Amino acid sequence: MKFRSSYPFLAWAVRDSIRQPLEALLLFLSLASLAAVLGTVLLLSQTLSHTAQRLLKDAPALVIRRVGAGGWAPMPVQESVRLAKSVAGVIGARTRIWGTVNGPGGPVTVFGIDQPLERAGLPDNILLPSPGQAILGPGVMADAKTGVIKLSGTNSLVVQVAAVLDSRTSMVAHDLVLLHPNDARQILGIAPGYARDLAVDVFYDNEAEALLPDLASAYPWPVLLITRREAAGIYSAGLARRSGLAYMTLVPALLALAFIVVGAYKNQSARRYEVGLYKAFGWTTADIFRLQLLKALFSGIPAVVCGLILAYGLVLWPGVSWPGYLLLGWKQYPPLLYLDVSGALLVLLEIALLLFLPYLAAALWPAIKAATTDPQDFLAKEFI
Amino acid sequence: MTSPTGQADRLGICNALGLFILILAAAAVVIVCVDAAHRSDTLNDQGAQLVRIFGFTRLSLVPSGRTLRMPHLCNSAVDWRYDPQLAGIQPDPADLILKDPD
Repeated sequence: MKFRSSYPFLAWAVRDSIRQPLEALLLFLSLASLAAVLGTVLLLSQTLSHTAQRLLKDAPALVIRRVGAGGWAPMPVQESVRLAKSVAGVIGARTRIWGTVNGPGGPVTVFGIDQPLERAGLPDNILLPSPGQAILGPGVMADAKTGVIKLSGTNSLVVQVAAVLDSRTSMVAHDLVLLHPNDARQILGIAPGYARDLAVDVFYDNEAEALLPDLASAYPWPVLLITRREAAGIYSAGLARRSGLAYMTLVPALLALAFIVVGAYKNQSARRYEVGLYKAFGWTTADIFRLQLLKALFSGIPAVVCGLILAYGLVLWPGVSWPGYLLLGWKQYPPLLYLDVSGALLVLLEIALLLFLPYLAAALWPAIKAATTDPQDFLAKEFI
Repeated sequence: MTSPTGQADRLGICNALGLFILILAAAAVVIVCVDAAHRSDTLNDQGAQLVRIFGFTRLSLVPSGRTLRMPHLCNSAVDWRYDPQLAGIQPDPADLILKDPD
């Protein structure tokens, strides 16, 4: 039975590849693992930064903190709000009562909810904490098995767990404890009528930085002003520093890519006799180019696709937690990450090109060079 | 290019295998693209809602008390996780001198 196919070159390419199965398997594994490592590192960095910026899009435009000779000082609520609103361009100001305290499984951030202000926008499924009650972030819940938790800051307080936030809020509120403002003040040692800082909204986001001198001069005490852009920049820079360790994996990865490229080039160069044979049988240069291209694609495409899909799943599977352990410093119960997919495909495409172009060049260049040479030279040299 | 028995040297199988693997890879790429296009962007809506309502300026990606969680509040030379006064973390004085308004 004669072989007939619409894709004879593909059949030849596959046959040629599986003649050396171990070599083909090693090439597949090398390319796939390289694509997976590169994809995971670059995708995580890009999507984490993008998601963080998206989440903080509606954060306050400015935060005002009072400072004194001894460091941070509480701000009087009514006077602080009045002074902020006296500056043209400020459309809203609200005080915040928050701080870091010791919780059941380590440090947690407590946040006092100002009842009348927050009720309007609060989801229906979340109740505001009454005095003595707490609403826990998903990460604190795991430690609060008894229904009460003890929080120790300047003062200690035992509060009843009233509710737990949905796990999808993990990126924002993982180790957060929402309290009644009086409870928060008591734990943090803030006197009644005072707050930790002031969150300010401005009419035009772009003019937030222009308002800094006016806001600073509006207060009779020294203040530190932090804009949303500044806060987000620090956040991104911090994450970038941490993922810098992950980027270290790129060095061996690129070295591995160089080895693969050199290996492909040497392998192709060593098989010049075959090219001469094909030419002697009457194959054209275009036929040989097509065969080598299909061989390279048959080995390369599945490997790179497998590696990139693995990276995509590792990073963008909803609720992944391994970056918390490996990169973000969590010892137990890391936050579940729900990262944005936008821009991910572009990163994957870049990685595919980064791997494919040198690999294809190394595989095709010797073949093209050989195909344009007189076949008798190869055959003669082979039998000498 | 056929064997003495007249059968092609597994070229038929190779042809089918090549097509199968390439089609499989193409299908995987399509599935990823479809997943990316249809992935719900509402997964973080509840988190974004909390940021908007409570005026959070930090995410909880790193544990409380770490420098990255509150870069403006911490002296990076000290590991604040072991500070007995966690609630009263003080700012870096150098930062205050630089940013103190006139």
